[in-house]
Amino acid sequence: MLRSKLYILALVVGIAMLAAQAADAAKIIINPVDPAGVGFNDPSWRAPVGGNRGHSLGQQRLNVFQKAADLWGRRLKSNVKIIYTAAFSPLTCSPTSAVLARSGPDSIFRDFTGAPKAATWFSVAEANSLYNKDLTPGHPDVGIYDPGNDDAIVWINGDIGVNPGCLTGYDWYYGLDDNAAGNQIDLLATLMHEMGHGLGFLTVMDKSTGALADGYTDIYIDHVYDNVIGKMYPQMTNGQRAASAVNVNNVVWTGGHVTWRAPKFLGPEPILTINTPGSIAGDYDYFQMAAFGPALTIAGVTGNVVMASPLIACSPITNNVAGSIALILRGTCTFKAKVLAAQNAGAIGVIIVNNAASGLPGMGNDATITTPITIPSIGVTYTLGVAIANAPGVNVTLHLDPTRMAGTDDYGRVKLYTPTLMASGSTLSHWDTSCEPSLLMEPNITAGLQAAKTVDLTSDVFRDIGWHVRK
Amino acid sequence: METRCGLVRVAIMCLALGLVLGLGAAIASENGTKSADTKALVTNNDAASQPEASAGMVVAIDKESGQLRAPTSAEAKQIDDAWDKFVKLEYGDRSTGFTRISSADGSHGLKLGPAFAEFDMVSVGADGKLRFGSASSTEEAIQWMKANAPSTQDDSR
Repeated sequence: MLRSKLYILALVVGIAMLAAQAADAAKIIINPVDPAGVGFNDPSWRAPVGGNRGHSLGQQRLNVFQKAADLWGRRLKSNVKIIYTAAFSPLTCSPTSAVLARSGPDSIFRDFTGAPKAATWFSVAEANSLYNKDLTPGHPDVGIYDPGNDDAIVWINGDIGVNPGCLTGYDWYYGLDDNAAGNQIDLLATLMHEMGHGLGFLTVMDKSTGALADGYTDIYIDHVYDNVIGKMYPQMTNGQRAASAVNVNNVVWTGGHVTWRAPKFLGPEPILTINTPGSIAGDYDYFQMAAFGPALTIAGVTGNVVMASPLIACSPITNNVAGSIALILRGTCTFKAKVLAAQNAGAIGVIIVNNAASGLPGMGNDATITTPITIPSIGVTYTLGVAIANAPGVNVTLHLDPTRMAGTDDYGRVKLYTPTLMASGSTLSHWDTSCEPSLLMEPNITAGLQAAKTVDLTSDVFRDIGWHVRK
Repeated sequence: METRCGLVRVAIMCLALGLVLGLGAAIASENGTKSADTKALVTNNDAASQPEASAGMVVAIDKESGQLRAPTSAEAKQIDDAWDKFVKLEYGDRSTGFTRISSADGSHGLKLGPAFAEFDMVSVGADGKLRFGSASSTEEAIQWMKANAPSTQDDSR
């Protein structure tokens, strides 16, 4: 009898503790605004998949949205409901390309009661949380971009997997278990990413002009620094901000939580070390790893650099590159074909030089070549490639540096995405693609993401910008 | 009698007819300036709003007569301003794509328009793999997709 009472008491205490713990979790409400019969209201039958028990397409979509809302909600503290306008209607599409989603906060606020920093914009969801009051009260909106009361929007392309002319052969993956197949795009990961933008993982400055939103900085760029210009973004002129937005490899996040926790998520950095000659010796981290062949190791491969003949290496290499790192020019045939030619000639590694003045070779795979590639290869800029080609007695090591993290600067600060082509919304509002393993808020939704289990450094960005984040 | 006009800027004047009513109304409605527009057109005896030569790319249509005519200078400016604002709202200029919100408690807000949305795109490469990109406007998203069509972009070579 006593044992029974103790069990009951323990159960009650446990439930109370759980309830207390959950009480401060943010409640994220999905406000679907699709018309009847489409999007969230699509009645087409679907078999349950990956933990998603919905039996209609619309229900499965809603279940994934709700899962993403719950996953974010349990990570953030807020006493004010966060309302997401949600649509699953068609967006721009073709058989080979599509807009996946559009997202962002519905409004931003500054100088509200409880604002941790004056004259600085915060996403309305965060502002509400810090203010402990709804700055845009009222009924949920009835459409996208209504002049209303919701806090953020997520609009997913509902034509994918439905309209045969839209991204033909691909579909969303509606499972909740990070288990998308090769011809599927993980909706949960996409939503976790898009909701991250809506909660404040973005800048609202004009990236092309560098102008601040209505003349005020935002809390996101308050943590962004340019290693070349030597200034934080709020301290820059408009021109400096615009220039920094395309300053590839040199813009970093300075927030302490992210820098502190980065080693938990990022692996060792791939490095090209030029050992000799002294004129170009040093560590270089701006290059493209191949999407095929072995990964680099800490020991790496070391060898003298020998220019292949023919330099384009689209036919068998005729000079002696055995035991060396072959230097090959991009063009005409695939990267994999070039590396295979070098491998067949006995090379132990390959450096492919870009044939364009800027950027890096893509180093993508060629699925038609099935011969296993056993030597590592990288792609370098035209400038670095020419420097290597013109220097005498070049000896290099391709390796991982365990003292540095992939995607960080010399101070361990994580790099932001600032590609040379600025006509891109991804600039600044994402992590750099050199981060390895890939992070949720990189521009690419990669297959390795485990969004149902982790949001990696995203929570730490939210800590840095002032969100109260739950343990 | 009150005269109401729809206004539009188009590349080919004839195409204006199809676009003018909807776009003009949309712009006016979007900006909440419909009544102001009407008033301005009623007062077209004002010297500043007399018809004048235009570059031929801008046209006014009188809804009642259905006739094309050159816009007044005020109308031409109105067209330019409205068009610029429409384009900026639709295509991502963040300097104007918002509405200010002021609260009695001293806080200030911006209701953000489409210019502030992040677009994420996907394209199937020649190697059959997906590549992703982002943009800050519909126009940029479409440009990205065109630039990343398999025939123009091949990461395998």
